[in-house]
Amino acid sequence: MKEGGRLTIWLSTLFVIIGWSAAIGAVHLFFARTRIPDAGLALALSVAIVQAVCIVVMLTALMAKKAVRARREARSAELRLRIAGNLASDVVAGRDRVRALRGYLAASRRDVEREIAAMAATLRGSSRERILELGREFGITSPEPEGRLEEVFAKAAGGNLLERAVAAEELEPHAQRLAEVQIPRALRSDDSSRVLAALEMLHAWKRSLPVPEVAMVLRHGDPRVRAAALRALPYSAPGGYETNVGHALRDSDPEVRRAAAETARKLRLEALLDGLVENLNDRDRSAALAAAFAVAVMPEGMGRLERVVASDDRFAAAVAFEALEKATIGRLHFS
Amino acid sequence: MSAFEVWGRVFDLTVTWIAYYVATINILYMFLTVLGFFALWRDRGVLSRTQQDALLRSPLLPPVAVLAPAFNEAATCRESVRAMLALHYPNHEVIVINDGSKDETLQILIDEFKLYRSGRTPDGTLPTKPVRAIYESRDPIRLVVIDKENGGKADSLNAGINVARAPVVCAVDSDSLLEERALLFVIQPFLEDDSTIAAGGMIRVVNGCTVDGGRVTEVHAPRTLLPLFQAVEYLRAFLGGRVAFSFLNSLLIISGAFGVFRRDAVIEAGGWLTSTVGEDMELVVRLHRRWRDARRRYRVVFVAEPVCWTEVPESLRILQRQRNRWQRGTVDSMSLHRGMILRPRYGAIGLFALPYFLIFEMLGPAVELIGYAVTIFGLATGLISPNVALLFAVVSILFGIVLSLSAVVLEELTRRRYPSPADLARLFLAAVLENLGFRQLHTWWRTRGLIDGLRGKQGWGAMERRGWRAP
Repeated sequence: MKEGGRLTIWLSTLFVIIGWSAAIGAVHLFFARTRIPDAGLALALSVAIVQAVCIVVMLTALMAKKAVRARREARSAELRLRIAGNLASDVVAGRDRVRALRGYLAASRRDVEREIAAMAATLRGSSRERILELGREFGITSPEPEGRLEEVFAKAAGGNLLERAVAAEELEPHAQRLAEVQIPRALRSDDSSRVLAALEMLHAWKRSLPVPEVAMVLRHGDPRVRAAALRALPYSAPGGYETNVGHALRDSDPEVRRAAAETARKLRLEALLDGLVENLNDRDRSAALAAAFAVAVMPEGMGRLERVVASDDRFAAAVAFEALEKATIGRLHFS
Repeated sequence: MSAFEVWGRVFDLTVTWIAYYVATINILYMFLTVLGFFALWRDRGVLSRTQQDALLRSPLLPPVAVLAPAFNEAATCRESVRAMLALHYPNHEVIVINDGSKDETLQILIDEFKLYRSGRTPDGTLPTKPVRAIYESRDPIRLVVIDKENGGKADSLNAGINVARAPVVCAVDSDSLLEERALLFVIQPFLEDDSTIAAGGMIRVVNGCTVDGGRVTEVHAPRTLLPLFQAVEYLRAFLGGRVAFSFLNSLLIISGAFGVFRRDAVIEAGGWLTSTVGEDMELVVRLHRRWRDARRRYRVVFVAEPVCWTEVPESLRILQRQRNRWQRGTVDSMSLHRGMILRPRYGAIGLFALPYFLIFEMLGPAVELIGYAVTIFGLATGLISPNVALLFAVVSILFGIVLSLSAVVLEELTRRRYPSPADLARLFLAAVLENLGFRQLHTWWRTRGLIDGLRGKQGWGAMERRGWRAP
């Protein structure tokens, strides 16, 4: 929560408490004190009166709001059904329903907005284009970040993981365009968080996009960036996988070693089999397991795992055994 | 001065102090409720439905391991595990810890979910009772069942955290029902700020609701009085108190029925403590202590949107046991971490939250009970006039009603889980009626719990499970 938001909450609270105290004070001064000589009793009576009034006000507001809401929702449900029908007729069947929809817009803008957003989320292709066009025509903010890509990307790159994850999905239809300018520019940035955001997007999109700059950050000073770069590597096709992933398998950071093993598994980098088998001894269990799961998908991997299981190294044997077991019953992708 | 006069002065002083105490506690409750109201109002609906859908597709969300300790849960385990597996989250694993159940819990799970004895071994280092076996499913589901010797809930959670591999763990009661998107909502503080080490969600009363396939399909207020009182109580505690304490970064309790933690933080703190019945509160206080001692930035957050539905006791006997246990848990936590109280290095925790819990939550019931005794004595001896006693009782009851009603109003303004006006009317009625007998009984149970806690009594007592059913 922003500090400004916190201050508003404090001030609002203070305002209510002062208002409540003032109400008690007023009742005390103008009503209770004039009738009860004992100050303590008069104050208690004042509090009781104010509390009773609070109860009545809250109860009335609660019930009135509930009733109004119920009526509005019943009306809205009926209206939305008609709006959806008209939208479908226009967007899917190609009949011009703009006039009818404008009528609904005047009656309940919120319902039209909701229906357009709901339909835009489910449609693809030309139907989606049409629904977005309608949204623009009605002055409803388009859910598409078209035309403000730079702004959305910059905001996401500077935001927290929640904002980045939401933006990554929002920007996914524009991945190709972003991969041409914004992503490479972010990867060349000195700001680790921008680099990280760009890599996370490549990973989230899971689309093959030529971004050779990913290879540049594989040896970045920040281990989070190195790990993210390895995860984005299979999608960015910069080449030289064996060298880069092989190097990362010996990284000082366990998260990077884990990401390297996962990438080796995803790309089935057979040349790294020895390096992966070595990592079965990784004292970080998650990195060791990732290596074992990667070994299990290699053509020679099962045999290598069996040999490790039979070895004296109990730690590596346990890890290898689990990978063998998962591979045998086809549960590697659940691990 | 005669002995009679001395006793009269003592009596007057006691009455005066109790009056001050009651006034302070009510003003504090009022303050917390109002603060909670604005905090909740501000944070309502942070993510739109479209954004939630986008998040559900995202591979960037951290994996979560749902830890569900189970002891003699044969009646509900099948359905609740199915519900946990069906949660809407892109990457979660369910870990059920069979804590030496004497009934058919393990066999039901083995048969229902086609479990096999897995080669998976614990990664964590928390000490626990011996683990007999770890099972995984042959089905395409992410379910792990740990079979271990009985050691209690805290021990089970520690075993679960040892086996979990996800960076975030969600501790739930195996009989609780999480709403479909509960994980998605409760994970948000971790995504917003990587200094978040723990987050708790809202617990609601399922009694009276319609449950189908491990999901709450129709929400209603409970139809019987005892669960109805508890429904109001839960609303008041969560929407008022916890939101406010979370706003002040002084949240001391994350309910054992639904809490999410960073796995490395729990391991670093030493896991859940097995020697207390209030392991949920104790862990949170310990996390505060450890992070404040190390002067590290951290957050412990309450999120009102994710909902966990829980079955509350319908009999006085079971409810009394539960409340006694909760009070003993508070005593344990306060006693174990008394060194933090009024120490400026612990910030708002040491200077506000812990003293508040000590004076009002832990000792509150005893003071209230003394208040009742003094009033009765005063009335009997003529030291207090019936009109004065009546006026103070009315003020106290009206305060209680305002606070409860505020929680109901808050519920309606922000979450709106109860669709029918009749449900709201029932909740309001409960907010009034709970002051006339139930509150006093509750005070008595909590005072007994306080005494038992100070005496060092341990043990959970049995909780009867009836299984999910239509009301």
